[in-house]
Amino acid sequence: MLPAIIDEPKIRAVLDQALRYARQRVEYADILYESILRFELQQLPDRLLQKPFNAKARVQIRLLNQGRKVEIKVGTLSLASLKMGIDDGVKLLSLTPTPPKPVRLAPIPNPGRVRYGIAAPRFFPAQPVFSALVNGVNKIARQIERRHPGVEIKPEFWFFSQREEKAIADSQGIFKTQVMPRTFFQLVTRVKGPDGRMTQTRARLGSPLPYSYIVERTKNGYRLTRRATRHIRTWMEKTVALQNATSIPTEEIQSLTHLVLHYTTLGVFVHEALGHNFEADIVKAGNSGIIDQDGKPRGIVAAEMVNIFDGPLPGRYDEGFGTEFIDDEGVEVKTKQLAENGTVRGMIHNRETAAYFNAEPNGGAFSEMGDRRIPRMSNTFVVPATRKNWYRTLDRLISDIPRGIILEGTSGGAVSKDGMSSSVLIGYLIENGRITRTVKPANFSAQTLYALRYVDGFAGPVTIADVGFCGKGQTKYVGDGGPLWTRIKNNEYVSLSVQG
Amino acid sequence: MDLFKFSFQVRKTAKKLLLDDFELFLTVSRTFNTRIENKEITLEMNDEIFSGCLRVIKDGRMGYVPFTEPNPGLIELGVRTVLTKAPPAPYARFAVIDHLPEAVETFDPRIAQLLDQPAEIQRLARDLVHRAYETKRIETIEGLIKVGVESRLLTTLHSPEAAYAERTSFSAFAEVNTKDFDFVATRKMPEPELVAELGAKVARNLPTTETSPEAEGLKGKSVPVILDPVFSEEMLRRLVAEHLYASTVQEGMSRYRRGEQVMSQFITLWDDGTAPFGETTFPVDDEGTPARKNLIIEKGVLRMFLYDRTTAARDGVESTGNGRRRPVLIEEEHEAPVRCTINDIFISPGETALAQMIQGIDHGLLVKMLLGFHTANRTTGDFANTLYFGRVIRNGELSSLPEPGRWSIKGNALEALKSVVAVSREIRSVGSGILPWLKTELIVA
Repeated sequence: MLPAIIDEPKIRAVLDQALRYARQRVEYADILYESILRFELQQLPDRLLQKPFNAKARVQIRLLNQGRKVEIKVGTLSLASLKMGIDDGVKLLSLTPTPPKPVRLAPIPNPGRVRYGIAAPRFFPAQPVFSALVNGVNKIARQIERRHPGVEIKPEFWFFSQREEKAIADSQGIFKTQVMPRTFFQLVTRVKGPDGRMTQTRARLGSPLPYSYIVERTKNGYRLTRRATRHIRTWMEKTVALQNATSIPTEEIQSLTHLVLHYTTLGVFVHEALGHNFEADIVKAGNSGIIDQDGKPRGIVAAEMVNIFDGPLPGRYDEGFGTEFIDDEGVEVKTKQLAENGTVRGMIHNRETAAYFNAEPNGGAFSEMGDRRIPRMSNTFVVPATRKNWYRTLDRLISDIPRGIILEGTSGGAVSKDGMSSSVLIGYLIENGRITRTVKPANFSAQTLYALRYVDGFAGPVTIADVGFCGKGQTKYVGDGGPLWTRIKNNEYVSLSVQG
Repeated sequence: MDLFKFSFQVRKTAKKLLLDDFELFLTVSRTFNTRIENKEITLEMNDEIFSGCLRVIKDGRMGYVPFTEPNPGLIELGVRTVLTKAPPAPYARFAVIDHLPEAVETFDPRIAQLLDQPAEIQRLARDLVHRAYETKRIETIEGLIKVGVESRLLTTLHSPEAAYAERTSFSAFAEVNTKDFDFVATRKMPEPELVAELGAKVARNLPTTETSPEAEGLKGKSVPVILDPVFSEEMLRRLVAEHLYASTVQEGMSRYRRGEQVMSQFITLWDDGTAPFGETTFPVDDEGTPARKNLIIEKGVLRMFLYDRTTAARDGVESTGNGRRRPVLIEEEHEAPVRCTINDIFISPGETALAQMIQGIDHGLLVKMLLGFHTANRTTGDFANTLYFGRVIRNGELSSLPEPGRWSIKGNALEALKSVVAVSREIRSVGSGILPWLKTELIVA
């Protein structure tokens, strides 16, 4: 049975009454109610912060009249607050200039279906989960310290798991709800070496699943899952390895023939370099580097062997940190093909941009707790368009590289209209088909239109396990990824700079 | 929403739950946004956005309850939940708020009035757009005018009074052709003319040529750089401040030692939680310590570290008024833990005119914003990022725009500030501080 939001009848009644009130004043209104119940633990450098109880909720009202639109964020879900918001909105509508093209909203497909989601806990066993996390993480740190005498490991971490609920209702009778769990774990490892040198990495795990993704219950109590243990150990070891990492001077970088990107580096690269440029509001504003303001693609955006998608992996709603069943306008989230064989195929829409570009809404409208709903990525990923040059292993992929670099991990990225920048946590130099040296953190930048044009090979299965928080004036959970490894021929449109 | 009335309800709940102490932080705000997307203007209102956090101490343990609904029943449930096996409190009691400093300046009635006259703000936005397009140099313009009033209250169980202030805010922003931007961010009503001119001014000052590091022959070279106050503030807040926090010192991870020359002798830096109409200005910090001004760096020498009450208790000293709810990632302010946090940042102006600083550079850069600077390494201060907004300086003139995605700048924030050789006479407010332009060196990677 599909899960229902808590107090569904009560919430529906308030929304219905508010929408009846709005209908007497405007042509169209819709309301989004979002709430989160979260438990959270942060191990900071100087303290342990437990938040076993965190409840928050916000409401967004949108009113449309005669081609004009206003959006109102309201703090609490009470009829009085909603009516006040609607009254304010009606006043603002009269002040809103008529836009060059009247605002319309594409209809919501499948209007009759109400419930979506995955069962999510309403209560959390906070204390045993917190203990398992603190003991588990610090135990791994001490084990690694013993293996590397003189090295001090200072792990900071942040864990939260939550139950998310939303309800979307409109003045035409739509009522849809979604319940989702979501779990996140971030480890920041700081290592102080024997000579005082400091190195740092950041690693994340995230999923649209409950807390058992990170901490599981066994006969003997709670403990870190194998996945979490392996991830923590791997990144702590990598942070220690960075103590002996070397830099690469600019001249030497220019002589590299290939860059090999781990999915964690590729994911943020694709998200920043291309993903934002597919968001239809950015296109409409004239700020997309790959699609003209009128929706016409500017050219090829990637090599022919590259397909780009956004959304859940088809049929898989238990993977991808950004996965949802419906967006914040009630539209079912599609797996959207953004590029096929390197050519632009689609955009990410909310109902407004879908109507503007005469397209179908595809479930791309999201809001951060009552903010306006704008086109956002959910999980953005690369899929090889062909089996050619798609190998099973990294060894095979790098075997013919005379001089290259493997780039792994990220601490985030950013995008401008024509360029992007993303950080890399650790690198490995490839010489004559073999890994020879660990390389310091780096920054990877590229010109948007050319970012993926030089992709010439892949290795490993496709995964969307990279975890991010995308900021676009409001924060959204996102996933990204691609094949485990992607090989790019070094070119003049890509620039790498290594710290140190 | 009456925050005092709600705080009395919470007081009753605290009594019922036999709490030893509590600290209540409440805000309610109303903001009006006018969004500009080329010639399209849209209006948004945020009505009565309430949030709060209750920290409680009972039997030597401390718990944390964030909330967004003014519902005492929900808060009671929250307190009961958090007190189950809460961790030990770092101190016995929360601050006692008494002898509040004289009223701090945070409220401008002109802004509050403006909030009730959205037509005025909308007119201002239209004027901004109109003037920008009149320059005939606009391909795209994005902007936002944001006007707000926030009431903020902080009290504790044993405080005879509550710290309370109403804070107005006004910000306006315009980005032109995705090549450059300008903004005003203040708690005091700015001259409308300044706001209306934002886009046009940026458009008029945009160079028409773009260039790459290869074309300039600067790839791989260390070059003289002028840091715009916008960038300096970001660098100080994100990377340098980390080394000023007592929490980092206590962990053994700070690069700084008190009494040492940590920055150039040209830099005198302080933070201030009381500056008139400052971003962080409030009678107390977020845990009840009276707000104050701290001289942190004097002529490059480190004079003090910044403490909140937890780190102060550990070192047996007083908090320096730097306990702030500093949100990270998805956290909102009320959810964020109190951490050592720098208040508004100030650097003394220098003696060199900015024009003279630029004239003194044969071949270099003006850096206003690096793309993805949030990814820089706060432990070491290292960064390597793409130049987003800036100018190429050639023969003492701001000559060209950096070609997008082609310029990578790398360096170390701590070293860059040690290497400052000139500080401008001119200063500018960046919203959360007032700083001059600084001249130093960075590498074009």
